[in-house]
Amino acid sequence: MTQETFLPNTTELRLGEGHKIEEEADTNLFFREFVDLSRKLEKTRNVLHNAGNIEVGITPNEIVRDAKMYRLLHYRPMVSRTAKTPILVVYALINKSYILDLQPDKSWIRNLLNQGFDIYLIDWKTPTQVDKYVSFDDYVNDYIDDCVEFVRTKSSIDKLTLHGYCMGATMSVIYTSLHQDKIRNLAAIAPVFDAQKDVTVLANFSRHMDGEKIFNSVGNLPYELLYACYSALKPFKQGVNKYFNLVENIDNEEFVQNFLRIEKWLYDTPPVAGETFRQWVVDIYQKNLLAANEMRIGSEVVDLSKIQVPLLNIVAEEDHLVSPHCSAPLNDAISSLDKRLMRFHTGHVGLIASSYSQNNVLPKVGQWIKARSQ
Amino acid sequence: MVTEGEVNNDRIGSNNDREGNEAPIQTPANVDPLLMREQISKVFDLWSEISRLPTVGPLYAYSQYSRSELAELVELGKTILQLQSHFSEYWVLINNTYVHALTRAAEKLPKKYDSKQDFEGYRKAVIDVFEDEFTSLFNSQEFGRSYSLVLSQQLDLFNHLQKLTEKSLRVLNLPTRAEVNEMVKDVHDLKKEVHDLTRKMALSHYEK
Repeated sequence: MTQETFLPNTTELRLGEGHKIEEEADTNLFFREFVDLSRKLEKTRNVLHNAGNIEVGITPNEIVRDAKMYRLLHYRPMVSRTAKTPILVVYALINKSYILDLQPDKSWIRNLLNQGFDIYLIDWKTPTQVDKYVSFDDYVNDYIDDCVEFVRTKSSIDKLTLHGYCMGATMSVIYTSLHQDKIRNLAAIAPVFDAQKDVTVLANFSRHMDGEKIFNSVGNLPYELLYACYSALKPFKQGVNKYFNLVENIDNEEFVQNFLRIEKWLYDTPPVAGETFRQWVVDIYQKNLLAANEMRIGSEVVDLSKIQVPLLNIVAEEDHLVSPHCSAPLNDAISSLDKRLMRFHTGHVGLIASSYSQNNVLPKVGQWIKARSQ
Repeated sequence: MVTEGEVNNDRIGSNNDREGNEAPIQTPANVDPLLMREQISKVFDLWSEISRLPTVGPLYAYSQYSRSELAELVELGKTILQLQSHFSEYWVLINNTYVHALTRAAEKLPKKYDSKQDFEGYRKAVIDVFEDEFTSLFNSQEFGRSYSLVLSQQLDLFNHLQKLTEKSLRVLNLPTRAEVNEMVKDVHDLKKEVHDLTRKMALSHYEK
């Protein structure tokens, strides 16, 4: 039996010569697409399997202080310094600080160095079960204060610029309200402030979580719980669609490297110290004590109306972790005369680690800080 | 004896009440789950009461251990029951949203798939629909409460298991969780005091 008997060319019989050619062309196109997709899937599999060695945080730095709960990094200057006032960057307690120095062309730290600033960064270490009683009091009045003292002594200056991101921005605001004699400027990126106005999924979860029970049952907040919360944030646009995009762009080396770096950061989640998380959820999200000027840190009550130093509040309009409605009211809560709110059309991570932030955010931030530095 | 393929007429016949009216058969499928949970909960409560009966005489001391274990097991059972109930509610929310998203996605099905762009367009539309539906769900008070209850029950379950394990390992003479917590708290407070003293000493040294 010949092949023609099995596969009669019915298309040709019914539709004529022209249609036959068109269908053959379509079949070839479909076949080529299928082969290409298979190749891309295979390449994606290889890339993901060999993704262990991804370099992040490569801007040259020196560990100038190594304590139980943090490391203080001092970045080597890249150009001659144009501002004497050093910047102390306070990172959040969620995930790792290298998001601020993800890759050279999208590094927040490197950009500020190139603008002539002297940069220090607090890199928080992973808390263990022994650290479950570590609270905001420890983070603010001990760890951040130790770093501030170190930088002041090393740079022989009285005041520095405190620059926090996300939870680190909230801690920077609290620190400034308690120790503003040591602060020249406060630059906060997406601070959690008026939590009742936060309309994100994370805020909804936080408002309903039993923080006391988590603390009493498991001590530190386990990273699995953080993953569970993260997976509910843009679950399809980011959780699913990004993998489609990866396969689609697997031949674009730059895209792949960027994807892998962000992915590494997303799943590099340490637990959060139990008492700190309890305060974060109960005092800030559920009771909104920070906005009410009633939050107690150690023996003191945080009164933000005491803040009189210049404030730069940087928010992202499309932030799905800390909504701009939650950060923006900070400007109304403090007494400073010099305060500025900058809004950018990007997301929480896009604000600090993207080409957009390099071109649109950082030049303005640098300019603002420089104008208020020695 | 009922063989395979036959119908047990006796069972059907016995389902009539005294007046001859047919009463509904209580099969696992049509038992009210709420009623079932209540009944199981009552059984647990009964055992809990029995376990708390006062014991007198020389067996009193020996019974302490088993009594507390029994009480913990009863509590564990009740927590599992509550967790199951809350977990069902949680899945109902997820499932309803999924079905709703699926229906909306089906409405966006393109009339024809002529090109790769048609597939791409549909994929994006599906992702938008699912994103929209699930983000609305996760943002709702109802889901927040449901998630919180499931999490809370999971933590309770964890606590009961911890207590049971602790009781079983008493023979090893290890410190209990409460005792370890006390030590950790003491260590934390001591560290803080040392930190403050070091700071004060450095300050006084600097002032001199």
